[in-house]
Amino acid sequence: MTSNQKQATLNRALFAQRSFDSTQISVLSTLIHHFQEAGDYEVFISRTNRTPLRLVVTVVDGDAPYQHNLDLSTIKNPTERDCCREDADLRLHTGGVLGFYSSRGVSTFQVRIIRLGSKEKQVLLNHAEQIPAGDFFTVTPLRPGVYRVADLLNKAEMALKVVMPPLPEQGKVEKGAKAKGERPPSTYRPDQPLLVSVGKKGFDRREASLLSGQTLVFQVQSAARLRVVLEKEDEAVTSPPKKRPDKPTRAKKQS
Amino acid sequence: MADLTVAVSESAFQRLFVVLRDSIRWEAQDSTSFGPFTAGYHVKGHLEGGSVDFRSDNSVLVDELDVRWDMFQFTLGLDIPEICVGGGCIDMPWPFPDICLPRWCVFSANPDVSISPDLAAFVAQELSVAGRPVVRYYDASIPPPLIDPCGLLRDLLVNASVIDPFPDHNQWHIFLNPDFIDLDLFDFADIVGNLIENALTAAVTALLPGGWVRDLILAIIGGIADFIRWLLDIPDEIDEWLSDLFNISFGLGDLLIQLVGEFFGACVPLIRVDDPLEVLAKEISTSVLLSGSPVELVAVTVPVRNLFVRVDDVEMVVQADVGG
Repeated sequence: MTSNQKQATLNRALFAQRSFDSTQISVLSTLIHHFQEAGDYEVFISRTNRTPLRLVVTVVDGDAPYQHNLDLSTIKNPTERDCCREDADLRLHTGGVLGFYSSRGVSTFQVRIIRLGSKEKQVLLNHAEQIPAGDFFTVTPLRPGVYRVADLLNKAEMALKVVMPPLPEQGKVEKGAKAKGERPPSTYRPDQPLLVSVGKKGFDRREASLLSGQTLVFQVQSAARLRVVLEKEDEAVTSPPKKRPDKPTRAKKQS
Repeated sequence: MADLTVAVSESAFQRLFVVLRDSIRWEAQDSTSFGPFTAGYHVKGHLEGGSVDFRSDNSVLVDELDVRWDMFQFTLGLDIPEICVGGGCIDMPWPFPDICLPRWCVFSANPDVSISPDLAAFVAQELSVAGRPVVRYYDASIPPPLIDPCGLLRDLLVNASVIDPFPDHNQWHIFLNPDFIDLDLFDFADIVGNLIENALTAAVTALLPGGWVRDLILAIIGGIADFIRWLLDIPDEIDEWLSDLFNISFGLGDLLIQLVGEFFGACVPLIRVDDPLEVLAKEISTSVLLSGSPVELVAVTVPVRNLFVRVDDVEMVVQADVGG
């Protein structure tokens, strides 16, 4: 028997992420900005020590999508600073959202959104300082354990417990029970996010629990600065099993 | 009444048949993509055994020919789809549509695994051919067709000294034209299913990192064995799926039936009779002249006309008229 395989390129950054901060976008976190009024906006996306990328976003009441998600790890930073181009890179419907995330790598990004047209520049989002009301910040923790979630502006805290999803039991699905083409039912759904509101009174709950790989969405109701830090790793699942001590040898009975 | 009659017994026919049977060897390979997986084969085989039975309805039955596989390499490749976390949507109040969240994928490139077990030891089939002898006339003056389906096969056999090349003079050819060819369907035992499933599971397992990351991936995909079955679209036993693959998707049995049918029915004659037929060979004789000087005697040939063949349950009879 011969066996060939093209090695998987593992997205290792996902498994190294232990903390999240709303002042920067890293893998497994997303910033979602809500554009509530029609107009032209410029969006600056900064990566550490690189020239920021400038995008022009036009928000209209007419025919335009309600959502764009930008994968910041795939964008190319310009070699020269762009200041004055007016043609739109993106069009959004009024009330639409622009999501910023990074699908891979260890780079962190910051976003600044300015409304164009008025005499004075109106900074709608300076991500490095705070997230404005109406926006969303999401984290998708993978490493199991207990995380401390803090809103540094509103001095609020909550606990987040991340547990491993149940492992499938081998051979649980009876042969023949599955219809052709159907995937065996799984109890684990990573695509079911949990929504938590955060406002002046803090978080809407004191603790939350997620399965590893599920997303916690913070709905920001008043400006916030969020931080999610792994405080206590769940050693039961992240450490190798401890070796059982050797049994002492039993003394032979003498006859 | 025919001028020439030759009778061939069952045992003599069996010896003729064995020579041809041993000359049949085949090699075939193919692969097909089924979306998330590819499957292919590379096979080599030959025939063994078989008993000849003359039947009173002017037919010959060659029964219980063993199909022997010298190589039966089966290649199965899986393209592992993205395994992702996150995603899903946030319900928004009307009139705004839901906000959908990005996903993060564990593999940044779709890895693939493939296995190539040789199943020759696990595949056994029998083939039976029943056919009637047919006579065809080979006219050497007619150029061969531009596309000769038998040309390649005959060239191979000639190069291997199994058969003589077609001559530069005319011949009568007697073929066994198959009425039916019966081949057992490919039937793979449980052990083959287990062999393939274990090999695939090991190959997929080798892709995954260890520790909690592995447990997380297993939770996402729902276990490797079920994941593989889902990718391969297998509702039941993997050995049944494999049999369907070879019998229906690949149609390897049809390929074999076509090969055997063309071999006996159109490409390689069982018996050849030269036309004109040499009844006395050319020779140098010293007994013709009184002086004893050598004299070259030309070969004596007679034209063969109206060659006819029939079979009863005892013998095969070839009859022909001689002369113009």
